[in-house]
Amino acid sequence: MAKEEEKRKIRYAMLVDLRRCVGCQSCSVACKSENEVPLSKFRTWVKIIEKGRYPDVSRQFLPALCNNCENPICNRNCPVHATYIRPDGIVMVNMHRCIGCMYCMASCPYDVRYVNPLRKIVQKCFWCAHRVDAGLLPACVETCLGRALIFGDINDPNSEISQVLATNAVVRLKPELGTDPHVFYIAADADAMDPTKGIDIDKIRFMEPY
Amino acid sequence: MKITRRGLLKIGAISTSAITIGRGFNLFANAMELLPGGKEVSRTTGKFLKPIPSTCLNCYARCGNFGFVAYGGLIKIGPNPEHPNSRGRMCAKGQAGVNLLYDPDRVMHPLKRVGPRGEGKWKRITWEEAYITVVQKLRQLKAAGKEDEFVFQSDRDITTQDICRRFCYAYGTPNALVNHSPGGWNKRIAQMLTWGADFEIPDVANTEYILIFGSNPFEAHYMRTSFVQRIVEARGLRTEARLVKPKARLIVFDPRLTQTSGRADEWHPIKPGTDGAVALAMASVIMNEGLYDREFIGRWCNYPADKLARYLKKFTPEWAQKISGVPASDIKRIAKEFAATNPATTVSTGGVTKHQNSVYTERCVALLNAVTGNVDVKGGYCLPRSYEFAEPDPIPPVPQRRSELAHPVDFPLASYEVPQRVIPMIKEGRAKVSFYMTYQYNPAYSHPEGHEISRMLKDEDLIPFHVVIDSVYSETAALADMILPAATYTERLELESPPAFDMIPFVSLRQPFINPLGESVAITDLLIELAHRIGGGMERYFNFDTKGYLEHRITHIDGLKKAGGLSYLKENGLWYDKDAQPSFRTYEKKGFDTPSKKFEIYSERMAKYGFNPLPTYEPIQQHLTMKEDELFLITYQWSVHTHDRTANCMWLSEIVHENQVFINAETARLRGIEDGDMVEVISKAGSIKTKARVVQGIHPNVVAIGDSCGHWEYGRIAQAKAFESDVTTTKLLWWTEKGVTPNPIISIISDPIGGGEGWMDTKVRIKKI
Amino acid sequence: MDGYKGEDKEDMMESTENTARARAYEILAGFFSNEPTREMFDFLNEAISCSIEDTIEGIEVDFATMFIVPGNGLQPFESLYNRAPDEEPSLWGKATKDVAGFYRAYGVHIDESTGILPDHISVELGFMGHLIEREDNNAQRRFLEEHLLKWIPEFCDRVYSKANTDFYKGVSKLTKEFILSEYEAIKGEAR
Ligand code: SF4
Ligand code: SF4
Ligand code: SF4
Repeated sequence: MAKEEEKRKIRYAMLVDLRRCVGCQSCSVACKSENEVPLSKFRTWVKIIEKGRYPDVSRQFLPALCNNCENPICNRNCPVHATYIRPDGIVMVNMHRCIGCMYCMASCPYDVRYVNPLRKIVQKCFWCAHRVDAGLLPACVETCLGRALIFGDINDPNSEISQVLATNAVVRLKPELGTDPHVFYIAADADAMDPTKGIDIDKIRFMEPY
Repeated sequence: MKITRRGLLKIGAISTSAITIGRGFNLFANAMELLPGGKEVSRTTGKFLKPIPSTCLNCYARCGNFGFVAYGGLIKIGPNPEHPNSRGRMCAKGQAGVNLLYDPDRVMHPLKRVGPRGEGKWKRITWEEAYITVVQKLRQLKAAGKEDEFVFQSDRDITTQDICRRFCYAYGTPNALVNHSPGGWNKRIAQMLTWGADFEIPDVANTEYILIFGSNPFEAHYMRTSFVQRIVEARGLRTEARLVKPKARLIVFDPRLTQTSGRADEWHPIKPGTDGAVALAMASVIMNEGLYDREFIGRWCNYPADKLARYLKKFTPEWAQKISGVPASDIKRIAKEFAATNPATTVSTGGVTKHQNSVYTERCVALLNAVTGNVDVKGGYCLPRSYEFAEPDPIPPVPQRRSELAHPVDFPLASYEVPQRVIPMIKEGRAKVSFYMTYQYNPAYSHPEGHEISRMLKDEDLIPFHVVIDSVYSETAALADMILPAATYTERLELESPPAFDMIPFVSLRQPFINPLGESVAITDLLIELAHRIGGGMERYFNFDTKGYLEHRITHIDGLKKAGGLSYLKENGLWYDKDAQPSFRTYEKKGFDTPSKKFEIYSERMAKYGFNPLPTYEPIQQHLTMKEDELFLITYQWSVHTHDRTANCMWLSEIVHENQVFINAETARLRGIEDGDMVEVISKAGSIKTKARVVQGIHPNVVAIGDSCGHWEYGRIAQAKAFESDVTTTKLLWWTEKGVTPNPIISIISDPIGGGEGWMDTKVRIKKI
Repeated sequence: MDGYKGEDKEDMMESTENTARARAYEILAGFFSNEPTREMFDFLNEAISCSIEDTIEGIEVDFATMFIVPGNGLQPFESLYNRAPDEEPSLWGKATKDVAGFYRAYGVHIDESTGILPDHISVELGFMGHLIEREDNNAQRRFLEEHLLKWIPEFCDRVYSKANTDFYKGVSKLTKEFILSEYEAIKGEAR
């Protein structure tokens, strides 16, 4: 039993409970601070849209980040194999290998990768792997005002994320592409997931997340 | 000047080091050792970084934070999970505190103006010279018996106001204009008059019904991070002793669709400044349908229920509908729901307190909680719980001289200064000022009619000497005679006791992550030093250093003393009584802190000065004369900014640096305005130009402009000026727009009772250009 | 300064030369850390007769305007110029950390109570003086290559174009030329 426990493979995932998100962008800024993300780029960004007609209007949020897909497309065309998948599911970019050819950016259907403006290598969210390895939560999860972000091991049935996943309906972005994305959303708004719909309130967007 | 390399070497060979580095620094010391572990790891090495527990002050919520320091530099600010209020969360502003500390355009040395005021010509001076100048002027004033011509102002000063006041009183001036009030001035006065506390703490974590008037806690609130996380909790699934509690309902009255109203159960776009009418009508429904809390009104209010019901009769939902535009049926329904759901609470901030009728309105809102018996109950509308800090003996007496600035005659109930009127009052000749000292205060930018204020600040006859203490080169600093570099909140040692959401008061410490940069000095150190230099008896009130002062301040808190006092706080960042249990209905012990010891529905003090002693609605004068094409201008705060002190944080300004004017799609269509068009917003006081943001989520008669952008000083980041460097080819501030500030087109109009500014009472016209 | 270590004359000559160089860096450091004192002013004018045309007041204002008052873009910190490609403009940037690491590697660190940042131009120049005193040519060369040369020439050009006084035009020109010539000299030297 204990042995089996040990052997069990960890698979990290992120769950975004949009009933709890307040659209505060704390996650976006915490990430900048943690990972020294250059100005003009974000690894996670909360899209905020306005939906409906006066007076029946609402705001919808959608934090978007790398899905750390089980079956990513981004790594397939990389000529130098800079993108690799850790055993725990986190998709990494080896910055020493990356030559900045941007093939991965072109293939990622979620558009969450960016080129570091001058270092000319590609970067993206890697769920603060350095923190996770040290036993800490990713910076965005740690600081999330609404506790909308839940991070953990979905192979562990006792983890918070597994339990919430088990009791709620979730959606993922573009699952039909077969990438098996590992960011799950509860109560995501269809319009927020559609780039053509709604009025974007924080208009500055650095990436079209989908 | 011509020196060659040879020449230089020649000087090098013959000179002595005394000449070479004039008043130089002692540059190098011995090597330092490595640091022990903690809770943040280095990305490159995987090592833990040393955490320093402290308290955020990028807004007044004062959340618990950790600074992670490596090799003398602050790497990151992260949240402190032990903090009872913020519980390990920190908003975007708190995260961006690093930007504030390392703003490349910080003021780091004392500066003295040369050339005319406002020209921007400065000379660096030593602290010694600065102190000598300041001390000399203050001594002269004192010798001439004109202590009250020294005015100290800082309307943002919630933490150090005690020591600032102490300094002023010890010196002999009553003009200690340092009374920051969370939630706004009008709210404060209304609350004091009603139940004797400054503001309320809605216990939203335990409530079942949240009724919001003009407040947007998801984006801005005086207890933001602690508050919003509890609202979210109350709105999620809650189980308590195997009972599944229903989600708390969230009802919002706001002219604007905000993050809060946009996620609420109901959003009622209301005409600005009419919340009082709606609240009154609700109270009327509750009283006249017998839904009120007999016990609470009978025992704890100073006005009998039957009389109140009779008084309220005329404020019918239909009457309120006419005024506010909110359907009478909704008012009736919500009133009944509010009365029937226990516990329930209201939340009211900016949208209520930033009008001329705020005190009346706030009292109407408070009334709702009283008639439903939600006052200071679990899940209700609670009194703030925090520790008072003691002042070390001897305590300087309050100077006897009457001060028009501190207590203006035309605002008899505004128990403190009316900040936005201070400089205009000096202009009107109601007070003479010889020495004006300001701390982290930027009226030239952040006050209504800011451009007029700038003009007055420039006038050397009006304000002969102006010393600014700040860490940024603000619009006001640019008009000063001397700038003294202040330490930012990440470099200071201070005590805090913000109101506790778990209803168990706590003390938290703010401590420096690093030494103040450059020659910056923390305000407490500065004032202590000044007091000693001025002398003349003043120094005996400052018989301590900062640490000693703080130690004095907490000696009366026994538990903390036992735990180890200041050293405990330095280690842990905060302290609270671990055995304490939250208690409610605290007024049952000693009554409310009002003359009648009751919740004063009827205010004798208001009657005395000719104001309506009962909760009432007073229409806003400007509204009565609205013309067809006129709109209400309201201001608001972006989720990532404070009103005026975060524009130099690049991570925040990157997200919000522009303020367009938000306008309803229909209203825009009628004026031929499309999204992104340049428009002119014109008021009586002036006009500004900005882009239109055409949306659905705003009342058709309202336009809204955020109030954090549009700086014309404050460093390059706030002004979206590029940083040039040959090494890198990009300018690295990718945005070029800095937005506008609406303040110049907002007239100074004050609530006659509270004295607070009517920020949202401006009528404007808007046209495409 | 007792820079005399060797017995033979060559060594002594070199030591004197090095002392002069170290001192030269300190002088330059002084130019950027402070406005010239009256003493320095007179010294330059008389002993060296470099006939400064500006008034002391003018120089002081120029100094403050360029290096102290925010907004003029000439804050003399390396991290604002020699930025890592993806770096945002901030004090205590990557270059600051690098330079602090450099100091540490040589057993010195900044006296924190001064509040001065390690990558202030005058600290860097002063440190170079220190390296010369240690007669560590390799370190000098590295420090020049990795830090001083990376930004000071550019910085000096900017100062030159923005300075209102002859004095700082002169200082900036001198500093740039001195550093470039230093590098020429060091580059050729054997390790
Ligand atoms: S979201 Fe895009 S970048 Fe991230 S793993 Fe999937 S395909 Fe790759
Ligand atoms: S920090 Fe949490 S609540 Fe705030 S925007 Fe991000 S996900 Fe939403
Ligand atoms: S709400 Fe944000 S800015 Fe305010 S104290 Fe908390 S973390 Fe700091």
